[in-house]
Amino acid sequence: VTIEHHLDAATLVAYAAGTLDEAFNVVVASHLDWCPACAEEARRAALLGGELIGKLAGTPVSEDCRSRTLNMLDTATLHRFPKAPSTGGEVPEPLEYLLKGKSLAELPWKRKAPGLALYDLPLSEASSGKLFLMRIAPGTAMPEHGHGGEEITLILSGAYNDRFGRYARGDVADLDESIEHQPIVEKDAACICLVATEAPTRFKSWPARLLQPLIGI
Amino acid sequence: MEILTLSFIEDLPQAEIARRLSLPLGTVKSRMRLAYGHLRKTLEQPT
Repeated sequence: VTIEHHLDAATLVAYAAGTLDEAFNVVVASHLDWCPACAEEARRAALLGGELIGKLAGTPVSEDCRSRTLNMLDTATLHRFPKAPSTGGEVPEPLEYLLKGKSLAELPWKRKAPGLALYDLPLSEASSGKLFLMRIAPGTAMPEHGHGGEEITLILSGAYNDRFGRYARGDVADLDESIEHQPIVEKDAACICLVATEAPTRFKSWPARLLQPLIGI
Repeated sequence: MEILTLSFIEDLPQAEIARRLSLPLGTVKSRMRLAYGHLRKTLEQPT
């Protein structure tokens, strides 16, 4: 996987601090699974966060609290953060876990508009975001749109082009509400993406806006 | 640096930091990038 489009540093810091919404966490963790450069940057951000916490003035705690904390550390399982990136696989590991072993072709996609199918992924009730897979047919031009909030899209297969360049497998589009774009999928294959959003897409044209409640994005 | 403290120590999402500091989210993000770059440079300097 050759990756040209990476995560914003502000997103990586939020991920390392553990403050991203669950939907965004899944997309970021999925990108890190394929992108050694962003995985290294996330690891560095976590270390710097640790340094920052280490510089805080100490707070007195009871001996009981201190010994219980140290005991918990002794018995804790060590996880490498983030885990070493993988290379193969149809989808990144965090997504594979959510799909419970099903391939993309096996999913019950819901056709929402000509050339567009979606598959909603389950999130816990605590999440305020929305997480879904989007499959866009070859050659389809999405209506020009902005974003009501933040949106991160990871390309799983196929490719699209917009004014920011070409996005293919492993690339991530880390967009906020100020960005408007019109992705056009390349003609040789469908483009399948993993998308996290915090607010509905803002289509510019009135036909797209009329269809939006039916499309569900 | 306050923005990094709110993120790493107060565990606040960026949207909440924006609300608390009365700043647009885009400004919080750009300050986050700057502060992170600055902290990285400071802490990773060979001593």
